[in-house]
Amino acid sequence: MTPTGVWLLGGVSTLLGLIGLILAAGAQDATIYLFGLSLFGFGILFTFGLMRRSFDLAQEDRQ
Amino acid sequence: MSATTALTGRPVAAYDEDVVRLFVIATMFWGIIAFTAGVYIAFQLAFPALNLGLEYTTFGRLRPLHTSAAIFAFGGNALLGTSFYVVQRTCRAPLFGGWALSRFVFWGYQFFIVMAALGYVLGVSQGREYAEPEWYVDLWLTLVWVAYLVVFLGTVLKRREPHIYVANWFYLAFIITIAVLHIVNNLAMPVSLVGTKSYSAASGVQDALLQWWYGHNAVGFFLTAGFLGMMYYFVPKRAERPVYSYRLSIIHFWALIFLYIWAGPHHLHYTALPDWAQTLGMTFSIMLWVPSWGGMVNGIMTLSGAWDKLRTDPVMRFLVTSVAFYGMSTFEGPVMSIKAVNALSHYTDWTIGHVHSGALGWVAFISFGAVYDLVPKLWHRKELYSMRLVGWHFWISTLGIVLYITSMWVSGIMQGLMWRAYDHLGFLQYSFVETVAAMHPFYVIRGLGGVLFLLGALIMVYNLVRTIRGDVRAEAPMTPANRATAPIPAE
Repeated sequence: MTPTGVWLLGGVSTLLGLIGLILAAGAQDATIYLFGLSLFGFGILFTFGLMRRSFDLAQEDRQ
Repeated sequence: MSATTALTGRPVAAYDEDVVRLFVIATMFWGIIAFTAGVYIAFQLAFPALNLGLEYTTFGRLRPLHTSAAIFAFGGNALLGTSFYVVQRTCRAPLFGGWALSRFVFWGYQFFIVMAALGYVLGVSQGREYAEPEWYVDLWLTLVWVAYLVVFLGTVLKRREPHIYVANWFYLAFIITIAVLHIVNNLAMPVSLVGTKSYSAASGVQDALLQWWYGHNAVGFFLTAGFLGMMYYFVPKRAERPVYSYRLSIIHFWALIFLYIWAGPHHLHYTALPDWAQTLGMTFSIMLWVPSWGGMVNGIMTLSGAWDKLRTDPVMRFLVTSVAFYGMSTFEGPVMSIKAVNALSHYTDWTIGHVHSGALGWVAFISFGAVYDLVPKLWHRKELYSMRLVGWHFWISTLGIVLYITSMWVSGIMQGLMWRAYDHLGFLQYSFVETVAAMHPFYVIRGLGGVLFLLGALIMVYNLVRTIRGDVRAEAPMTPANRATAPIPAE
Protein backbone atom coordinates (compact mmCIF):
# COMPACT_ATOMS: atom_id res chain seq x y z
CA MET A 1 0.00 0.00 0.00
CA THR A 2 1.27 3.46 -0.85
CA PRO A 3 2.04 5.88 2.01
CA THR A 4 -0.98 7.93 0.84
CA GLY A 5 -3.17 4.85 1.16
CA VAL A 6 -1.89 4.18 4.68
CA TRP A 7 -2.57 7.80 5.63
CA LEU A 8 -6.06 7.51 4.15
CA LEU A 9 -6.82 4.29 6.02
CA GLY A 10 -5.37 5.82 9.19
CA GLY A 11 -7.73 8.77 8.75
CA VAL A 12 -10.71 6.45 8.29
CA SER A 13 -9.87 4.39 11.38
CA THR A 14 -9.34 7.57 13.43
CA LEU A 15 -12.75 8.79 12.26
CA LEU A 16 -14.28 5.45 13.23
CA GLY A 17 -12.74 5.79 16.69
CA LEU A 18 -14.24 9.25 16.99
CA ILE A 19 -17.68 7.94 15.97
CA GLY A 20 -17.30 5.27 18.66
CA LEU A 21 -16.57 7.92 21.24
CA ILE A 22 -19.66 9.91 20.21
CA LEU A 23 -21.82 6.76 20.37
CA ALA A 24 -20.53 5.96 23.87
CA ALA A 25 -21.06 9.54 25.03
CA GLY A 26 -24.71 9.64 23.95
CA ALA A 27 -25.57 5.97 24.52
CA GLN A 28 -29.15 5.21 25.53
CA ASP A 29 -28.36 1.65 26.63
CA ALA A 30 -25.44 -0.38 27.96
CA THR A 31 -24.86 -2.35 24.74
CA ILE A 32 -24.41 0.69 22.49
CA TYR A 33 -22.16 2.19 25.20
CA LEU A 34 -19.96 -0.92 25.10
CA PHE A 35 -20.02 -0.92 21.30
CA GLY A 36 -19.02 2.75 21.19
CA LEU A 37 -16.11 2.26 23.57
CA SER A 38 -15.00 -0.86 21.68
CA LEU A 39 -15.14 1.01 18.36
CA PHE A 40 -13.09 3.79 19.89
CA GLY A 41 -10.56 1.19 21.07
CA PHE A 42 -10.51 -0.47 17.64
CA GLY A 43 -9.90 2.86 15.87
CA ILE A 44 -7.06 3.81 18.20
CA LEU A 45 -5.37 0.40 18.17
CA PHE A 46 -5.66 0.02 14.41
CA THR A 47 -4.19 3.48 13.83
CA PHE A 48 -1.29 2.73 16.18
CA GLY A 49 -0.84 -0.61 14.40
CA LEU A 50 -0.54 1.21 11.06
CA MET A 51 2.03 3.58 12.52
CA ARG A 52 4.07 0.78 14.06
CA ARG A 53 4.08 -1.29 10.89
CA SER A 54 4.95 1.72 8.72
CA PHE A 55 7.95 2.56 10.93
CA ASP A 56 9.03 -1.12 10.95
CA LEU A 57 8.90 -1.30 7.15
CA ALA A 58 10.75 2.01 6.78
CA GLN A 59 13.46 0.72 9.14
CA GLU A 60 13.73 -2.52 7.13
CA ASP A 61 14.15 -0.48 3.96
CA ARG A 62 16.95 1.59 5.54
CA GLN A 63 18.79 -1.57 6.58
CA MET B 1 5.43 -11.27 3.34
CA SER B 2 7.26 -13.92 1.36
CA ALA B 3 9.24 -13.52 -1.83
CA THR B 4 7.92 -15.90 -4.44
CA THR B 5 8.79 -16.70 -8.02
CA ALA B 6 6.25 -17.50 -10.68
CA LEU B 7 6.08 -20.72 -12.68
CA THR B 8 7.77 -18.91 -15.52
CA GLY B 9 10.77 -18.16 -13.37
CA ARG B 10 10.11 -14.43 -13.48
CA PRO B 11 10.12 -12.81 -10.06
CA VAL B 12 6.76 -11.55 -8.88
CA ALA B 13 5.90 -9.21 -6.05
CA ALA B 14 5.79 -10.91 -2.65
CA TYR B 15 2.50 -12.54 -1.71
CA ASP B 16 0.94 -11.43 1.56
CA GLU B 17 1.01 -14.61 3.61
CA ASP B 18 0.97 -12.88 7.01
CA VAL B 19 -2.71 -12.10 6.72
CA VAL B 20 -3.50 -15.68 5.65
CA ARG B 21 -1.64 -16.92 8.74
CA LEU B 22 -3.77 -14.62 10.91
CA PHE B 23 -6.95 -15.98 9.33
CA VAL B 24 -5.80 -19.58 9.85
CA ILE B 25 -5.15 -18.92 13.55
CA ALA B 26 -8.55 -17.21 13.85
CA THR B 27 -10.22 -20.18 12.12
CA MET B 28 -8.79 -22.60 14.68
CA PHE B 29 -9.63 -20.32 17.62
CA TRP B 30 -13.23 -19.61 16.60
CA GLY B 31 -13.73 -23.24 15.60
CA ILE B 32 -13.06 -24.35 19.18
CA ILE B 33 -15.36 -21.61 20.54
CA ALA B 34 -18.16 -22.55 18.11
CA PHE B 35 -17.94 -26.30 18.79
CA THR B 36 -17.76 -25.76 22.57
CA ALA B 37 -20.82 -23.50 22.48
CA GLY B 38 -22.62 -26.09 20.34
CA VAL B 39 -21.86 -28.91 22.78
CA TYR B 40 -22.98 -26.78 25.71
CA ILE B 41 -26.34 -25.80 24.20
CA ALA B 42 -26.89 -29.39 23.01
CA PHE B 43 -26.65 -30.54 26.63
CA GLN B 44 -28.83 -27.59 27.72
CA LEU B 45 -31.64 -29.13 25.68
CA ALA B 46 -31.10 -32.49 27.38
CA PHE B 47 -30.48 -31.04 30.84
CA PRO B 48 -32.18 -27.61 31.21
CA ALA B 49 -30.44 -26.97 34.54
CA LEU B 50 -27.41 -26.00 32.43
CA ASN B 51 -29.18 -22.72 31.62
CA LEU B 52 -27.86 -21.81 35.10
CA GLY B 53 -30.79 -19.52 35.85
CA LEU B 54 -28.99 -16.57 34.25
CA GLU B 55 -30.36 -14.68 31.28
CA TYR B 56 -26.87 -14.48 29.75
CA THR B 57 -26.50 -18.25 29.57
CA THR B 58 -29.96 -19.26 28.39
CA PHE B 59 -30.37 -21.36 25.25
CA GLY B 60 -32.10 -18.45 23.48
CA ARG B 61 -29.01 -16.25 23.80
CA LEU B 62 -26.33 -18.90 23.37
CA ARG B 63 -27.90 -20.53 20.31
CA PRO B 64 -27.24 -17.56 17.95
CA LEU B 65 -23.80 -17.30 19.56
CA HIS B 66 -23.13 -20.90 18.48
CA THR B 67 -24.55 -20.53 14.95
CA SER B 68 -22.75 -17.25 14.28
CA ALA B 69 -19.50 -18.58 15.73
CA ALA B 70 -19.73 -21.66 13.52
CA ILE B 71 -20.86 -19.98 10.30
CA PHE B 72 -19.36 -16.50 10.39
CA ALA B 73 -16.42 -16.85 12.78
CA PHE B 74 -15.10 -20.36 11.99
CA GLY B 75 -16.43 -20.67 8.42
CA GLY B 76 -15.98 -16.99 7.60
CA ASN B 77 -12.35 -16.84 8.70
CA ALA B 78 -11.63 -20.05 6.76
CA LEU B 79 -13.24 -18.53 3.65
CA LEU B 80 -11.56 -15.13 3.91
CA GLY B 81 -8.16 -16.66 4.64
CA THR B 82 -8.25 -19.26 1.88
CA SER B 83 -9.68 -16.77 -0.63
CA PHE B 84 -6.72 -14.44 0.01
CA TYR B 85 -4.33 -17.38 -0.37
CA VAL B 86 -5.98 -18.77 -3.52
CA VAL B 87 -6.52 -15.47 -5.34
CA GLN B 88 -2.87 -14.46 -5.00
CA ARG B 89 -1.57 -17.73 -6.37
CA THR B 90 -4.08 -18.25 -9.16
CA CYS B 91 -3.77 -14.62 -10.32
CA ARG B 92 0.00 -14.46 -9.65
CA ALA B 93 -0.49 -11.08 -7.98
CA PRO B 94 -0.16 -9.86 -4.39
CA LEU B 95 -3.27 -8.64 -2.61
CA PHE B 96 -4.65 -5.37 -3.91
CA GLY B 97 -4.50 -2.55 -1.38
CA GLY B 98 -1.39 -3.91 0.32
CA TRP B 99 -0.89 -5.01 3.89
CA ALA B 100 -2.87 -2.18 5.49
CA LEU B 101 -6.19 -2.86 3.76
CA SER B 102 -5.96 -6.63 4.23
CA ARG B 103 -5.21 -6.07 7.95
CA PHE B 104 -8.28 -3.84 8.15
CA VAL B 105 -10.35 -6.69 6.68
CA PHE B 106 -8.89 -9.16 9.20
CA TRP B 107 -9.19 -7.06 12.36
CA GLY B 108 -12.46 -5.49 11.22
CA TYR B 109 -13.96 -8.95 10.74
CA GLN B 110 -12.81 -10.09 14.20
CA PHE B 111 -14.34 -6.92 15.66
CA PHE B 112 -17.64 -7.76 13.93
CA ILE B 113 -17.60 -11.26 15.48
CA VAL B 114 -16.92 -9.99 18.99
CA MET B 115 -19.54 -7.22 18.77
CA ALA B 116 -22.17 -9.62 17.41
CA ALA B 117 -21.42 -12.10 20.23
CA LEU B 118 -21.60 -9.32 22.82
CA GLY B 119 -25.04 -8.36 21.54
CA TYR B 120 -26.31 -11.95 21.69
CA VAL B 121 -25.20 -12.48 25.28
CA LEU B 122 -26.69 -9.13 26.35
CA GLY B 123 -30.00 -9.98 24.65
CA VAL B 124 -29.76 -7.57 21.71
CA SER B 125 -31.19 -9.24 18.60
CA GLN B 126 -33.32 -8.23 15.63
CA GLY B 127 -34.78 -11.74 15.59
CA ARG B 128 -33.71 -12.69 12.06
CA GLU B 129 -32.12 -16.11 11.80
CA TYR B 130 -28.40 -16.00 10.88
CA ALA B 131 -28.74 -12.19 10.83
CA GLU B 132 -29.39 -11.49 14.50
CA PRO B 133 -27.03 -8.51 15.00
CA GLU B 134 -28.70 -5.11 15.21
CA TRP B 135 -28.22 -2.22 12.78
CA TYR B 136 -24.93 -0.85 14.16
CA VAL B 137 -23.13 -4.20 13.81
CA ASP B 138 -24.71 -4.67 10.35
CA LEU B 139 -23.30 -1.31 9.23
CA TRP B 140 -19.86 -2.26 10.52
CA LEU B 141 -19.94 -5.58 8.63
CA THR B 142 -20.98 -3.75 5.45
CA LEU B 143 -17.89 -1.53 5.73
CA VAL B 144 -15.57 -4.51 6.30
CA TRP B 145 -17.21 -6.53 3.52
CA VAL B 146 -16.78 -3.71 0.98
CA ALA B 147 -13.09 -3.53 1.94
CA TYR B 148 -12.91 -7.33 1.43
CA LEU B 149 -14.51 -7.00 -2.01
CA VAL B 150 -12.06 -4.24 -2.96
CA VAL B 151 -9.07 -6.40 -1.95
CA PHE B 152 -10.33 -9.53 -3.72
CA LEU B 153 -11.69 -7.93 -6.89
CA GLY B 154 -8.70 -5.57 -7.13
CA THR B 155 -6.37 -8.58 -7.02
CA VAL B 156 -8.37 -10.32 -9.77
CA LEU B 157 -8.33 -7.18 -11.90
CA LYS B 158 -4.55 -6.69 -11.69
CA ARG B 159 -3.79 -10.40 -12.22
CA ARG B 160 -0.78 -11.50 -14.27
CA GLU B 161 -2.57 -14.66 -15.38
CA PRO B 162 -4.95 -14.19 -18.34
CA HIS B 163 -7.45 -16.77 -17.10
CA ILE B 164 -9.59 -16.39 -13.97
CA TYR B 165 -9.45 -19.80 -12.27
CA VAL B 166 -12.86 -21.26 -11.36
CA ALA B 167 -12.20 -21.11 -7.60
CA ASN B 168 -12.12 -17.32 -7.91
CA TRP B 169 -15.49 -17.34 -9.68
CA PHE B 170 -17.01 -19.11 -6.70
CA TYR B 171 -15.27 -16.86 -4.15
CA LEU B 172 -16.38 -13.74 -6.03
CA ALA B 173 -20.00 -14.96 -6.26
CA PHE B 174 -19.87 -15.56 -2.50
CA ILE B 175 -18.53 -12.07 -1.75
CA ILE B 176 -20.88 -10.13 -4.06
CA THR B 177 -24.05 -12.07 -3.27
CA ILE B 178 -23.49 -11.99 0.48
CA ALA B 179 -23.08 -8.21 0.22
CA VAL B 180 -26.43 -7.88 -1.59
CA LEU B 181 -28.20 -10.30 0.77
CA HIS B 182 -26.78 -8.65 3.88
CA ILE B 183 -27.75 -5.12 2.84
CA VAL B 184 -31.29 -5.93 1.65
CA ASN B 185 -32.15 -8.27 4.54
CA ASN B 186 -30.97 -5.75 7.12
CA LEU B 187 -32.76 -2.67 5.78
CA ALA B 188 -34.09 -1.19 9.01
CA MET B 189 -34.85 2.08 10.75
CA PRO B 190 -33.06 2.58 14.09
CA VAL B 191 -35.22 4.08 16.83
CA SER B 192 -32.25 6.25 17.78
CA LEU B 193 -28.72 6.62 16.42
CA VAL B 194 -27.40 6.08 19.95
CA GLY B 195 -29.63 3.08 20.77
CA THR B 196 -29.62 -0.56 19.73
CA LYS B 197 -33.24 -1.10 18.71
CA SER B 198 -34.39 -0.89 15.08
CA TYR B 199 -37.46 -1.84 13.04
CA SER B 200 -37.31 -3.76 9.77
CA ALA B 201 -38.20 -1.94 6.54
CA ALA B 202 -40.59 -4.76 5.58
CA SER B 203 -43.36 -6.26 7.67
CA GLY B 204 -45.59 -9.33 7.84
CA VAL B 205 -45.14 -12.10 5.30
CA GLN B 206 -42.96 -9.89 3.09
CA ASP B 207 -40.56 -9.58 6.00
CA ALA B 208 -40.61 -13.35 6.50
CA LEU B 209 -39.91 -13.94 2.81
CA LEU B 210 -37.08 -11.40 2.87
CA GLN B 211 -35.62 -13.16 5.90
CA TRP B 212 -35.67 -16.57 4.21
CA TRP B 213 -34.53 -15.24 0.86
CA TYR B 214 -31.50 -14.13 2.87
CA GLY B 215 -31.40 -17.19 5.14
CA HIS B 216 -31.39 -19.81 2.44
CA ASN B 217 -28.93 -17.88 0.29
CA ALA B 218 -26.63 -17.54 3.28
CA VAL B 219 -26.53 -21.34 2.99
CA GLY B 220 -26.27 -21.14 -0.80
CA PHE B 221 -23.61 -18.50 -1.15
CA PHE B 222 -21.76 -18.45 2.18
CA LEU B 223 -21.80 -22.16 3.01
CA THR B 224 -21.88 -23.52 -0.55
CA ALA B 225 -20.40 -21.21 -3.20
CA GLY B 226 -17.55 -20.02 -0.97
CA PHE B 227 -16.59 -23.51 0.13
CA LEU B 228 -16.86 -24.80 -3.47
CA GLY B 229 -14.20 -22.21 -4.26
CA MET B 230 -12.11 -23.79 -1.51
CA MET B 231 -12.81 -27.25 -2.95
CA TYR B 232 -11.77 -26.26 -6.47
CA TYR B 233 -8.35 -25.19 -5.23
CA PHE B 234 -7.47 -27.62 -2.45
CA VAL B 235 -8.85 -30.93 -3.81
CA PRO B 236 -6.93 -30.80 -7.12
CA LYS B 237 -3.87 -29.38 -5.35
CA ARG B 238 -3.78 -32.08 -2.69
CA ALA B 239 -4.64 -34.88 -5.15
CA GLU B 240 -2.06 -33.50 -7.60
CA ARG B 241 -4.64 -34.03 -10.32
CA PRO B 242 -6.39 -31.54 -12.64
CA VAL B 243 -10.07 -30.73 -12.08
CA TYR B 244 -12.07 -33.65 -13.55
CA SER B 245 -14.07 -31.40 -15.90
CA TYR B 246 -13.37 -27.71 -16.11
CA ARG B 247 -16.40 -27.30 -18.41
CA LEU B 248 -18.64 -28.92 -15.79
CA SER B 249 -17.29 -26.53 -13.17
CA ILE B 250 -18.36 -23.51 -15.25
CA ILE B 251 -21.77 -24.99 -16.14
CA HIS B 252 -22.61 -25.93 -12.56
CA PHE B 253 -21.37 -22.54 -11.36
CA TRP B 254 -23.87 -20.60 -13.49
CA ALA B 255 -26.67 -23.09 -12.82
CA LEU B 256 -26.05 -22.91 -9.07
CA ILE B 257 -25.95 -19.12 -9.05
CA PHE B 258 -29.17 -18.84 -11.05
CA LEU B 259 -31.18 -21.45 -9.17
CA TYR B 260 -30.16 -20.91 -5.53
CA ILE B 261 -31.47 -17.37 -5.32
CA TRP B 262 -35.10 -18.59 -5.81
CA ALA B 263 -35.15 -21.43 -3.27
CA GLY B 264 -35.79 -19.45 -0.07
CA PRO B 265 -39.62 -19.79 0.05
CA HIS B 266 -39.33 -23.51 0.87
CA HIS B 267 -38.66 -22.35 4.46
CA LEU B 268 -42.20 -20.96 4.55
CA HIS B 269 -44.32 -23.92 3.44
CA TYR B 270 -47.88 -23.92 4.86
CA THR B 271 -47.59 -20.33 6.08
CA ALA B 272 -49.26 -17.06 5.04
CA LEU B 273 -46.95 -16.92 2.02
CA PRO B 274 -48.99 -17.35 -1.20
CA ASP B 275 -49.16 -20.98 -2.31
CA TRP B 276 -47.65 -20.24 -5.73
CA ALA B 277 -44.57 -18.72 -4.07
CA GLN B 278 -44.17 -21.81 -1.87
CA THR B 279 -44.39 -24.07 -4.94
CA LEU B 280 -41.90 -21.86 -6.79
CA GLY B 281 -39.42 -22.24 -3.92
CA MET B 282 -39.95 -26.01 -3.86
CA THR B 283 -39.49 -26.33 -7.64
CA PHE B 284 -36.25 -24.38 -7.70
CA SER B 285 -34.99 -26.36 -4.70
CA ILE B 286 -35.56 -29.63 -6.55
CA MET B 287 -33.85 -28.26 -9.66
CA LEU B 288 -30.85 -27.45 -7.44
CA TRP B 289 -30.08 -31.16 -7.25
CA VAL B 290 -28.40 -31.01 -10.64
CA PRO B 291 -25.87 -28.17 -10.17
CA SER B 292 -25.17 -29.29 -6.60
CA TRP B 293 -24.33 -32.78 -7.74
CA GLY B 294 -22.38 -31.32 -10.66
CA GLY B 295 -19.99 -29.87 -8.08
CA MET B 296 -19.97 -33.05 -6.02
CA VAL B 297 -19.24 -35.26 -9.06
CA ASN B 298 -16.51 -32.89 -10.22
CA GLY B 299 -14.87 -32.87 -6.79
CA ILE B 300 -15.01 -36.64 -6.29
CA MET B 301 -13.94 -37.50 -9.84
CA THR B 302 -10.92 -35.21 -9.55
CA LEU B 303 -9.44 -38.08 -7.59
CA SER B 304 -9.46 -40.28 -10.71
CA GLY B 305 -6.04 -41.89 -10.79
CA ALA B 306 -5.27 -40.83 -7.24
CA TRP B 307 -7.69 -42.87 -5.12
CA ASP B 308 -4.77 -44.51 -3.33
CA LYS B 309 -4.16 -41.18 -1.59
CA LEU B 310 -7.23 -41.87 0.54
CA ARG B 311 -5.26 -44.70 2.14
CA THR B 312 -2.06 -42.77 2.64
CA ASP B 313 -3.15 -39.17 3.17
CA PRO B 314 -5.70 -38.46 5.93
CA VAL B 315 -5.89 -34.81 4.82
CA MET B 316 -7.20 -36.07 1.49
CA ARG B 317 -9.77 -38.11 3.44
CA PHE B 318 -11.11 -34.92 5.00
CA LEU B 319 -11.37 -33.24 1.60
CA VAL B 320 -13.05 -36.14 -0.17
CA THR B 321 -15.41 -37.00 2.69
CA SER B 322 -16.47 -33.36 2.80
CA VAL B 323 -17.47 -33.53 -0.86
CA ALA B 324 -19.40 -36.76 -0.16
CA PHE B 325 -21.24 -35.02 2.70
CA TYR B 326 -21.92 -32.11 0.35
CA GLY B 327 -23.55 -34.53 -2.09
CA MET B 328 -25.56 -36.15 0.69
CA SER B 329 -26.85 -32.94 2.26
CA THR B 330 -27.68 -31.38 -1.14
CA PHE B 331 -29.73 -34.49 -1.90
CA GLU B 332 -31.52 -34.36 1.44
CA GLY B 333 -32.29 -30.61 1.21
CA PRO B 334 -34.38 -30.80 -1.98
CA VAL B 335 -36.20 -33.87 -0.58
CA MET B 336 -37.11 -31.86 2.53
CA SER B 337 -38.28 -28.94 0.38
CA ILE B 338 -41.02 -31.08 -1.20
CA LYS B 339 -44.21 -29.88 0.47
CA ALA B 340 -45.46 -33.36 1.41
CA VAL B 341 -42.12 -34.21 3.06
CA ASN B 342 -41.88 -30.76 4.62
CA ALA B 343 -45.26 -31.28 6.28
CA LEU B 344 -43.53 -33.91 8.38
CA SER B 345 -40.02 -32.49 8.67
CA HIS B 346 -40.65 -28.78 9.27
CA TYR B 347 -40.05 -27.48 12.82
CA THR B 348 -38.60 -30.87 13.83
CA ASP B 349 -35.05 -31.99 14.66
CA TRP B 350 -34.77 -33.52 11.20
CA THR B 351 -33.92 -29.99 9.99
CA ILE B 352 -31.23 -29.68 12.68
CA GLY B 353 -29.72 -33.01 11.57
CA HIS B 354 -29.78 -31.88 7.92
CA VAL B 355 -28.08 -28.57 8.70
CA HIS B 356 -25.35 -30.30 10.69
CA SER B 357 -24.63 -32.92 8.03
CA GLY B 358 -23.83 -29.94 5.82
CA ALA B 359 -22.14 -27.79 8.47
CA LEU B 360 -20.00 -30.49 10.09
CA GLY B 361 -19.56 -32.89 7.18
CA TRP B 362 -19.12 -30.42 4.34
CA VAL B 363 -18.14 -26.99 5.71
CA ALA B 364 -16.00 -28.06 8.67
CA PHE B 365 -14.34 -31.03 6.94
CA ILE B 366 -13.32 -29.06 3.83
CA SER B 367 -12.01 -26.31 6.15
CA PHE B 368 -10.03 -28.85 8.21
CA GLY B 369 -8.56 -30.27 4.99
CA ALA B 370 -7.63 -26.81 3.73
CA VAL B 371 -6.08 -25.76 7.06
CA TYR B 372 -4.06 -29.00 7.33
CA ASP B 373 -2.80 -28.37 3.81
CA LEU B 374 -2.01 -24.70 4.45
CA VAL B 375 -0.27 -24.70 7.83
CA PRO B 376 2.99 -26.45 6.82
CA LYS B 377 3.19 -24.24 3.71
CA LEU B 378 2.46 -20.98 5.52
CA TRP B 379 4.92 -21.63 8.34
CA HIS B 380 7.48 -23.15 5.97
CA ARG B 381 7.49 -26.58 7.58
CA LYS B 382 8.26 -29.73 5.65
CA GLU B 383 5.27 -31.66 6.96
CA LEU B 384 2.61 -31.80 9.64
CA TYR B 385 3.64 -32.75 13.18
CA SER B 386 1.71 -36.02 12.94
CA MET B 387 -0.28 -37.56 10.10
CA ARG B 388 -1.55 -40.22 12.50
CA LEU B 389 -3.18 -37.53 14.64
CA VAL B 390 -4.90 -36.26 11.49
CA GLY B 391 -6.21 -39.79 11.05
CA TRP B 392 -7.47 -39.86 14.65
CA HIS B 393 -9.12 -36.47 14.12
CA PHE B 394 -10.83 -37.75 10.99
CA TRP B 395 -12.29 -40.91 12.54
CA ILE B 396 -13.32 -39.31 15.85
CA SER B 397 -15.04 -36.43 14.05
CA THR B 398 -16.72 -38.73 11.55
CA LEU B 399 -18.08 -40.85 14.41
CA GLY B 400 -19.31 -37.65 16.08
CA ILE B 401 -21.14 -36.56 12.92
CA VAL B 402 -22.73 -39.99 12.51
CA LEU B 403 -24.00 -39.92 16.11
CA TYR B 404 -25.27 -36.38 15.62
CA ILE B 405 -27.16 -36.76 12.36
CA THR B 406 -28.60 -40.22 12.96
CA SER B 407 -29.95 -39.23 16.39
CA MET B 408 -31.53 -36.11 14.90
CA TRP B 409 -33.07 -38.05 12.02
CA VAL B 410 -34.66 -40.52 14.42
CA SER B 411 -35.66 -37.81 16.88
CA GLY B 412 -37.03 -35.50 14.16
CA ILE B 413 -39.09 -38.08 12.31
CA MET B 414 -40.43 -39.43 15.60
CA GLN B 415 -41.29 -35.88 16.69
CA GLY B 416 -43.12 -35.14 13.41
CA LEU B 417 -45.05 -38.41 13.56
CA MET B 418 -46.04 -37.83 17.20
CA TRP B 419 -47.30 -34.31 16.39
CA ARG B 420 -49.59 -35.58 13.63
CA ALA B 421 -50.86 -38.73 15.40
CA TYR B 422 -54.60 -38.83 16.12
CA ASP B 423 -56.53 -41.30 18.27
CA HIS B 424 -59.75 -43.06 17.17
CA LEU B 425 -61.84 -40.11 18.42
CA GLY B 426 -59.89 -37.60 16.32
CA PHE B 427 -58.01 -36.04 19.23
CA LEU B 428 -54.25 -35.47 19.15
CA GLN B 429 -52.67 -38.61 20.57
CA TYR B 430 -49.71 -36.92 22.25
CA SER B 431 -49.30 -33.70 24.17
CA PHE B 432 -46.30 -31.52 23.24
CA VAL B 433 -44.46 -32.36 26.44
CA GLU B 434 -44.68 -36.07 25.63
CA THR B 435 -42.76 -35.45 22.41
CA VAL B 436 -40.11 -33.53 24.37
CA ALA B 437 -39.73 -36.39 26.84
CA ALA B 438 -39.48 -38.92 24.00
CA MET B 439 -36.63 -36.95 22.42
CA HIS B 440 -34.48 -36.85 25.57
CA PRO B 441 -32.28 -39.90 24.80
CA PHE B 442 -31.58 -38.60 21.31
CA TYR B 443 -30.59 -35.19 22.72
CA VAL B 444 -28.01 -36.94 24.91
CA ILE B 445 -26.67 -38.93 21.92
CA ARG B 446 -26.48 -35.71 19.90
CA GLY B 447 -24.52 -34.06 22.71
CA LEU B 448 -22.07 -36.98 22.78
CA GLY B 449 -21.63 -36.67 19.03
CA GLY B 450 -20.78 -33.02 19.57
CA VAL B 451 -18.23 -33.93 22.26
CA LEU B 452 -16.47 -36.26 19.79
CA PHE B 453 -16.43 -33.54 17.13
CA LEU B 454 -14.97 -31.05 19.63
CA LEU B 455 -12.38 -33.63 20.74
CA GLY B 456 -11.31 -34.09 17.13
CA ALA B 457 -10.92 -30.32 16.71
CA LEU B 458 -8.78 -30.12 19.88
CA ILE B 459 -6.52 -32.83 18.44
CA MET B 460 -6.24 -30.72 15.28
CA VAL B 461 -5.26 -27.62 17.23
CA TYR B 462 -2.60 -29.58 19.16
CA ASN B 463 -1.26 -31.05 15.93
CA LEU B 464 -1.13 -27.67 14.20
CA VAL B 465 0.48 -25.88 17.16
CA ARG B 466 3.23 -28.52 17.24
CA THR B 467 3.58 -28.17 13.45
CA ILE B 468 3.98 -24.40 13.75
CA ARG B 469 6.61 -24.91 16.44
CA GLY B 470 8.50 -27.05 13.94
CA ASP B 471 8.15 -30.39 15.76
CA VAL B 472 7.82 -33.67 13.88
CA ARG B 473 6.50 -36.74 15.65
CA ALA B 474 8.45 -39.97 15.24
CA GLU B 475 5.82 -42.35 13.91
CA ALA B 476 5.36 -45.17 11.46
CA PRO B 477 4.27 -44.08 7.97
CA MET B 478 0.59 -44.37 7.07
CA THR B 479 1.37 -47.31 4.75
CA PRO B 480 3.54 -50.16 6.06
CA ALA B 481 7.14 -49.66 4.95
CA ASN B 482 7.62 -53.39 4.44
CA ARG B 483 4.83 -53.62 1.85
CA ALA B 484 6.23 -55.73 -0.97
CA THR B 485 4.56 -53.87 -3.80
CA ALA B 486 3.47 -50.30 -4.29
CA PRO B 487 -0.24 -49.61 -3.78
CA ILE B 488 -2.26 -50.07 -6.93
CA PRO B 489 -4.78 -47.34 -7.74
CA ALA B 490 -8.35 -48.54 -7.20
CA GLU B 491 -9.78 -47.58 -10.59
